[in-house]
Amino acid sequence: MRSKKAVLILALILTLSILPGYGSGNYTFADTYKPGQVEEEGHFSGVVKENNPSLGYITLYFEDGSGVNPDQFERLVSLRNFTYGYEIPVLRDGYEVSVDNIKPGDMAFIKLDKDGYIEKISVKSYYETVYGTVYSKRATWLVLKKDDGTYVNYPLSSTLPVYKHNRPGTVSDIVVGDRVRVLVQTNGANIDIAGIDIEKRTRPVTGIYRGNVEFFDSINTSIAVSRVEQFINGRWEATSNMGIQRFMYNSDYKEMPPRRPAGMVYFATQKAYDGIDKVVTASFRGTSGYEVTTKDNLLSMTDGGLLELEYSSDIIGFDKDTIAIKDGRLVDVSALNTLDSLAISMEKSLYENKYTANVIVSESDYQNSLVLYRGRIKNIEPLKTVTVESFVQLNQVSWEFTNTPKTFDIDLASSRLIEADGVGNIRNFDSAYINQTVYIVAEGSKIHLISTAPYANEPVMGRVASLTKESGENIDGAEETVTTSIIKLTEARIYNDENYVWEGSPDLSVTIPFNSVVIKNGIIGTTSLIKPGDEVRIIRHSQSGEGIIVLCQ
Amino acid sequence: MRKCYIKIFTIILMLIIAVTPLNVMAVEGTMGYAGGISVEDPIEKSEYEYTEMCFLTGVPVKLTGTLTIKKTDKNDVVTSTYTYKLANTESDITMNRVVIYTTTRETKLNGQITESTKLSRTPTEVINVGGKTFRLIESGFTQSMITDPKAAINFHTGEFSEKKVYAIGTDLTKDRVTVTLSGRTYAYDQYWSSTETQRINVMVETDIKSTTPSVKWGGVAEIVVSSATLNQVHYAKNEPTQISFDGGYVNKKWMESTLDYTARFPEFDKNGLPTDVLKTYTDTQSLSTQMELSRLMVPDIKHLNGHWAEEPISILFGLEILPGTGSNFKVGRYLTRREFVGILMNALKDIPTDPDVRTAMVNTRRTSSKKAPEISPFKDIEPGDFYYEEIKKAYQKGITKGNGNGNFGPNEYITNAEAIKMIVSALGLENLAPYPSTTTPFVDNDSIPTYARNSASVASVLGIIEPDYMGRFNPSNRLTNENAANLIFDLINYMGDELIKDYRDRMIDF
Repeated sequence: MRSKKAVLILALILTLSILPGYGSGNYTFADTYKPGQVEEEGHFSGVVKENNPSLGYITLYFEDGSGVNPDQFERLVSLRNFTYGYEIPVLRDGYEVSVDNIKPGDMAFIKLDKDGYIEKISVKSYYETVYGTVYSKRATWLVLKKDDGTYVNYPLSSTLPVYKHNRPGTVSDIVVGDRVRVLVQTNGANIDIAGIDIEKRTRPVTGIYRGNVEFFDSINTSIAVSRVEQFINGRWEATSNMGIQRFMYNSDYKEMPPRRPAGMVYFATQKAYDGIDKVVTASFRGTSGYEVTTKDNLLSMTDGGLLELEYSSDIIGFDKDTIAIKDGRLVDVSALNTLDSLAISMEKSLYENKYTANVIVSESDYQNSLVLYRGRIKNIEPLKTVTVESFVQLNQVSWEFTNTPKTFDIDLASSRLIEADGVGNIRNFDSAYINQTVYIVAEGSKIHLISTAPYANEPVMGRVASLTKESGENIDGAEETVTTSIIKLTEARIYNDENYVWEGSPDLSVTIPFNSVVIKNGIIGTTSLIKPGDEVRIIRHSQSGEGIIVLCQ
Repeated sequence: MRKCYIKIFTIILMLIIAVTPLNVMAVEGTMGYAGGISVEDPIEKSEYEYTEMCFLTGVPVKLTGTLTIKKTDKNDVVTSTYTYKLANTESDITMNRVVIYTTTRETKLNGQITESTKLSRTPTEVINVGGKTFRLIESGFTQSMITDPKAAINFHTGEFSEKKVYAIGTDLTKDRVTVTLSGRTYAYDQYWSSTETQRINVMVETDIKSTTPSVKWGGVAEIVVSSATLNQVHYAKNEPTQISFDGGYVNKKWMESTLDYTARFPEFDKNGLPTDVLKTYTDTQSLSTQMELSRLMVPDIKHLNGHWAEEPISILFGLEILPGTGSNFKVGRYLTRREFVGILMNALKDIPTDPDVRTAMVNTRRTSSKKAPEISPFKDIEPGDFYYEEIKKAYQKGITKGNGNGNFGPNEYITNAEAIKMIVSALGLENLAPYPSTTTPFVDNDSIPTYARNSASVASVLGIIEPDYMGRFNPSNRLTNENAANLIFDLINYMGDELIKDYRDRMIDF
């Protein structure tokens, strides 16, 4: 009896050893049904551990999810390795895909043929959604600061799908400080990123402020601050609010102030999901030393927390409480690059000759491709082109004359007509306008704006102190009231074109009519684009004094 | 005599048609389906402070006012009346709208509830814009919804579509505006927070025939509206030192709603006629209620001053999730399965009910005065035992099935694996990872029992558990008092703080 058993075991071992080994499938199935067989053979499922399209095999973890432990490797290879040819049907999340789209971490369902090769396979992905803010980004990786405050590193490649506002973009669209959503499937050391979504509307930092802490309201998580000043264009400016202002904390900003907050607080605000400006970072500096502001370029940065500036050659320290803003986004100081232009607010130590930055703001130069022309209309091809006889083109503060005709293209979707009494309709822009002299703002030959405003030739520059709008005529049915604005300038200067010098003219007021041309950061708009603190260049009408062209720098 | 019996029976029947609250969603439906937001009026019952954007003129205008919701539920057919009274004084706009919906509910075999909503009758709506009247003359509405009731959370998702045609002015045949809305709703209800978010696409098409030549223009808006109730705990330190307790916790409860839109409409010229240039309008509006504050009991845990789990233990005692006053709380003590289920059920609490629903339930069956004997779901626990009701409830809600042999093992010590399995079952989120055969990020993945592997993976993704300093989950480790407090505290944080981000903040941002 015993010898029979031994023979049987020996036969079984021999059979197993003859079976095709690794690489050609470990399972074969009989063509005929066994007695009492109620289930088809060859069905397997499990989480994908490895997919190797070059060698044509896929390895699954065991059905119960075990098989991670290295000592299970041999068993896993012998029992859960399945081979496939090139042309097998593969479904992933219901879509037909090629076999190399199967990723570790996918849940796979496999059907083997009678020879033990994969006949068909379908998988489901289990991507995890990770939300966070881009902390730093290089060519091949990015570091994300997750919403829970931890950091995670993800690989980047040029083929990685990136979306902004649900439209395809590229990896270069991801900017440090952006909030992103990463669809990632992680299994062991394998990381597969299905895509990165950049938030649909970038919520820039809406203000950088400082003031004296009055109290912190822990019930409503808000801070009351007196003598509030806003950091605009590298200077601290008083805000329009008098007395004490209350600022709510953003619910994601968990860092509470020190137990007894007092002295100076520097903070930045951002629009929260509910549309309200809320504090997203705050640094409590206590007693203030001697403070200065400067504008310069970054020459170098050391790991020891020092910035070297290009023009002044000053060395400035920074610490963990330094608030750094780059292109409107709250970033780590390390996100600043060499030759970035910086506006810095810094404080001198009370005990040594050392400056520490409280606030660093870096704004990239905007590449303005808009050109402003003025000319008399010679011909109009309705809805298509406008030709001027000759024209002048604005260059800095002067008009350059060209004695040749120039034709501009009308783009119905973007070409606007602004007249003294309101918005005109480019569909009605016909031969009636021939011989009128107009301003044309164009990008290449494409018209963005045609304005009938009068000729302006007197350049003025200064810093906007205030902007008031005078209610004007509200034309029935028109979408907006035709208003005139008055800009009050400080440090104003008027260009003397006889002596070619800027002459000081403190506290100048300029009236801006409705059909003036206002351009800020490459955007053509109305005076609502202009904010106190902006540095502007205005070309005035020499007799009426009205500002016809307003360029925000 | 017979007549007298009939009379008495009728009176009893009418008394039985009592107005009782129904255990359904707390938030879903409170914003209506017109792309507006609301928060509950603290004084007037069934009345909400309401804001919506009006796009009829081609320029978004904010309308504010009140929304009154009245719902009656009769045998799973809900009739809801939404009355809007809105205005914008600056733009000289008023709006009055009354919509009556009929919703039919059906409970499916697996416990899921499907809803189908349609208009009960033609709605009335009149909008006056500076003397120009927009009168609703045609309307169609359909909505479907599914509710998946899980042990601790009811999840809802659905979609709706509406078409409204307005006549401009007195001649109902010439000038018309057609507004088409289609939206999806995602919502959940549970004790610690409830959220409903709608993503709506609006198309406005205007056809003016009274002018020569006639004018046609169109515009679109994408709106995300979200309404949430929040329940959070905040620490308040005492200033005087000579006080019998050291600080304490305050429970904050409030409701907030957010409306975020991006609209693209033609720019209008000085004559009020549309141009080809499309203007983009974006804005965010929000409403919130005053916070309701309530103090939590200050537990007697002076023997835990400075302990790393002091905060969660204190809060859980304050919320009466942990039983007693805290004086007997012993760190390092292992928790039994009975105790853990009791604490877990205390933490999950009942899902709140819809305050606007009045239910008319007709009970025609006579009930016997004899009470049926209570039958325990498990052989080793009897009615009247400590935490019996909680264990029974956990069994009924599918949080625990016991040890598989008809026993619950109430006095056995609970392990990490068992605890996490119960928590993820309560949330109903097992399908976030391959079920049941997933792998986990823990280095001791292979030691995790099969039944708990999926739950451990899901809890790790949700941030409810973290690996230890060696990257392990330690599935067989017994749960100590303080570790259980930490785990339940993280669960409450997830339900109160994290889940809301997925349904609101991130839907608005992305």
